[in-house]
Amino acid sequence: MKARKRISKILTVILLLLVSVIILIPFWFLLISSFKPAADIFGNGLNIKLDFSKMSFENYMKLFHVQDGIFWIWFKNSVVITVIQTVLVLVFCSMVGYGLAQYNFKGRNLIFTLVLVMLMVPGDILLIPMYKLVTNLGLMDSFAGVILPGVVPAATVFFFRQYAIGLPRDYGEAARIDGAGEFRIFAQVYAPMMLPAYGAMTIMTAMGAWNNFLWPLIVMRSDENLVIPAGLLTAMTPYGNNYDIVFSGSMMSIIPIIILFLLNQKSFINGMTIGGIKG
Amino acid sequence: MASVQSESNRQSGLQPQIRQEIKTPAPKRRKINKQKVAPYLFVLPFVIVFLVFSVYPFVNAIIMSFQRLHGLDDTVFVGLRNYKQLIHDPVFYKVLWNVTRYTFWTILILIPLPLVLAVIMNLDSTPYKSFFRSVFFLPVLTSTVIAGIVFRFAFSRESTGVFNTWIGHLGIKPVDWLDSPHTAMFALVVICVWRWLGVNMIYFLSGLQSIPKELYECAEIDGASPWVKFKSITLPMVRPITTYVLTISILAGFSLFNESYVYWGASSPDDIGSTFLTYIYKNAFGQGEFGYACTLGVAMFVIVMIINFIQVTVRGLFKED
Amino acid sequence: MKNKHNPARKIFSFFLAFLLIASFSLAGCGNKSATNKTSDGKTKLVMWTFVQQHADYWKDAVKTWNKNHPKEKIDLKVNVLPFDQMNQKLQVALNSGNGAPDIADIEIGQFATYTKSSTVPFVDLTKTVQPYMANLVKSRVDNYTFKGKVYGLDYHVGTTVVYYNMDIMKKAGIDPSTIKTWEDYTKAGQTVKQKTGKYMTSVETAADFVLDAMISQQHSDVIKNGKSAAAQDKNIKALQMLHDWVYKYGIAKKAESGNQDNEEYFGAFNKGNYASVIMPEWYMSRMVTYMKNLSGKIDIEPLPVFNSGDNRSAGLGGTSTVVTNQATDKALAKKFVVESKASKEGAIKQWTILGFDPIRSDVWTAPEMKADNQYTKYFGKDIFDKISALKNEIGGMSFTSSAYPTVNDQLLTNTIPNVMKNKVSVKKALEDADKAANKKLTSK
Repeated sequence: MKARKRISKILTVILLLLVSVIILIPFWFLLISSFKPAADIFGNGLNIKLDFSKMSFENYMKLFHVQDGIFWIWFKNSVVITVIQTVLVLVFCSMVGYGLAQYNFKGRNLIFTLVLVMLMVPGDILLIPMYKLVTNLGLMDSFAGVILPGVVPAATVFFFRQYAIGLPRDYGEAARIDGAGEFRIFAQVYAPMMLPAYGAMTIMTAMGAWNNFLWPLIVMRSDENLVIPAGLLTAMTPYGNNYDIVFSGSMMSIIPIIILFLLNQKSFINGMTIGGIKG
Repeated sequence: MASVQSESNRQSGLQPQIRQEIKTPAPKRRKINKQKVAPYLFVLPFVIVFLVFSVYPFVNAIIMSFQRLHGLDDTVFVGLRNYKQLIHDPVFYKVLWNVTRYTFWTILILIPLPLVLAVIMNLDSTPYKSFFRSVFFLPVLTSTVIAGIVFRFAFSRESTGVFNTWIGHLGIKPVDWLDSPHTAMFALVVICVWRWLGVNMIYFLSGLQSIPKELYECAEIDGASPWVKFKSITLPMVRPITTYVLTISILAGFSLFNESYVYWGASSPDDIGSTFLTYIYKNAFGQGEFGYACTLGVAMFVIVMIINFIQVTVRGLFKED
Repeated sequence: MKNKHNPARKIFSFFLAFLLIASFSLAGCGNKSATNKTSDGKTKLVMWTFVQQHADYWKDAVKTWNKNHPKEKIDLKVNVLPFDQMNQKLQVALNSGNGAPDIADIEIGQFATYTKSSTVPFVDLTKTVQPYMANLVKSRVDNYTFKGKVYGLDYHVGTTVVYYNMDIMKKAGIDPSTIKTWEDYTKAGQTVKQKTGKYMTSVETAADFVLDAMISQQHSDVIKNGKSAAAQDKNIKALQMLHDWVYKYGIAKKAESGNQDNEEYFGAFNKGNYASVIMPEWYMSRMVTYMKNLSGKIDIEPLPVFNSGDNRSAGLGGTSTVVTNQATDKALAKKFVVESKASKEGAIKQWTILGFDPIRSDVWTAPEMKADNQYTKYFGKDIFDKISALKNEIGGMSFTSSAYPTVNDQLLTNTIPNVMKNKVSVKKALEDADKAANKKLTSK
């Protein structure tokens, strides 16, 4: 029995490693290219070789000095928008999803239908009306204008609702009998049960906010208000692409999210056990 | 959690149902009202933001779908002309066919596979879980620009491209991957599976976390095999999440843009890579036809809605209590 | 127990409120100030571009302007935005009537979307440009002229030439300067293939620089009277030749990735896969960056011709700088833009800062054009001697006609791929393009 378990363990690891290697190839390419000059990357077909003689930190130095160090401003903008948006989204969407799942009320199905409906509208066609609306509300060129339209995304509401609907109502009923207020039931009974959902949505929302650049770009006036992906895209022009900055910048952009992901895993996903329903 | 005990419970020591009946009328009414009002308060943020930032712009976009922009801020109402043009537009049908095929393939691969992966990643017996989860998640963080460069090179028509080298070993001549419909679809599916496998895995992982371990333990005691455990415990318990992933995948399939754009930009040979969004983008910003772009958007919206509503009704989304 | 949790809840609600307020109060950042003058009397102008080097060019231009016009000083803020997104943002801003900059770069392929209406959202520069007209390359000004009014000035001419890999040409024993007609070129290609095994050139399947050059040099076009007119004899001849190079003579093959302005192709050319490539002057920057193996080995020659009377070049690509209709000080912006682009001093900077062939042809013989830089090191000092010889043979096409995006879309999506796959005859393919494009155009 033990030997069989051991073998299946080893086999699993080997299989996962194989798949990992294949999946990581583009990332590997990004990693080593961020240390090479562009001519070396493309000079002879796509070059994924590790060649220390041609590698240096030059691309990163260039990145930090472009336009007098604007990269750090982009970085700051990305962090601020991502943090604020993620926190607000998690709070509001979990509340809405919970409300739709754990209560029966008039209009429940209607609102949930609206949630689903809003999921399906292609964003590009809303660009002009949204722009006019945000202008009229006086939110142009502000972080509020960037964050508010996306503060209760339908997909996240949908996810929390799906998660919450699988949770038993008994706990809420018991707490209600014991005199707990509705918000307290949410905050102390169900929110903790939804921790894995918070975990998943933290990383997905943060990633979405971190990589979303079109709307911030439209709302904010000057290029000092760009976020990282938009800033890096300025290095790709019809007059030639400045790959030195694109590669090193992309690496710098991945690092915070990976850190967040690992922290996320530790606190939300690993070692989660939920008490069973007794009786 | 259920440790808060009120005086009345301790005093009466009766069963839960009877406990409720003994409560005095006045507090009960207050509690019921709070319970009735609470859900509305919970969903209020969504409703406000939805009305302001979603309904209003969408209604505007629908109005625009009946207009032609005659210049940058000069619109002309043209009634149903845009819709008539849509019905006679061969590219519309190509685009519809492309995204339908693409959605079909991604659902086929990007639902079972991540689920299996999530199950493996959830087992206590799997070592180095954090590492592997990070690895599978990494692709979605790699910017589409970079991913596009790598995959475009990989699917190069030259015999030295990655895929052509592999099929070369099998004795097949180099293929012009990005130039014909079927191979183009393959290229799209490959980059998308690569990119989104980890994400769907994360969704399923969180769903698996809510399944009480006791259920599995009971089943094991009863001698259930891994497959039976999976079929009778995992699958049903993870159903709501599966519905979520399915709905999102249908939407994502129809909303395909980035992956197609990095292969071909807005113009693919014979429109083999054109999607709803690349076509909308081309009309809106490449040719300044915002009106027609909105028409396409509305059409796409209606189609996706119909498909998803059929899907969720069949799966009983609204009865999931 | 109730008391224990209330503080936590209070803290939580305060935190939430704080975040919301913080979002709103950050609304104060970056608002456009009420006046458009700085404290020392300079007029503030905002410009959007999508190329960092262009921003450098304008920062330098504003210094020059302020030196020469001390009473009308300008404080220029240049925003560098990503290419696609800047186009989207500008269209949205011009469409909504607010938020657009004073000055903007518009790439030639995107210009047509702004001329769809009878009122172009840019300021008419004609009178300001008038004094310089005689020295500017006319076809480049024509690109941004709409209904007789000039709306923008370019950064370069984009003189199209043939770049020959001399290692291969010498091995084949051919002197490129003896190639005068396309017949000569095709014959030379056969010799090259025979003696070196290399292809003479590549053909594009996902772009049409070469085809456009060949159409333009014959004084032809793909648009006539606002309608699609791709199936003209001269155009058929050009596309047929490109097709035959691959399928009849075997002297060319499909470019890697279908586009000669692409990283995959750079590597291939650098490796010596082709004896020559036909591209505009700005291709030099690609070679300098990505094709280091060929430094000092490239010879630049004019385009061969179909018939005498054809131009030996064409102007391809381009970006114009315009003044938008939302500019705060239109008169000043006009003068600034035109002078910076079209004056001698400004035009020379198009080479020294940007490495482009300036839009003012009389400066091509200026000494600055021979000063040492990365281009002269790579190509030699006589680059502009060669290009100067072509200055009266640079035409264009209706690149900025409002019909062009539709027609070009047909060519790129259907015509060229199908012809290069040998699926349909050249004549039929072009006729199909006309049919499809005109159908779309007339439904407007």
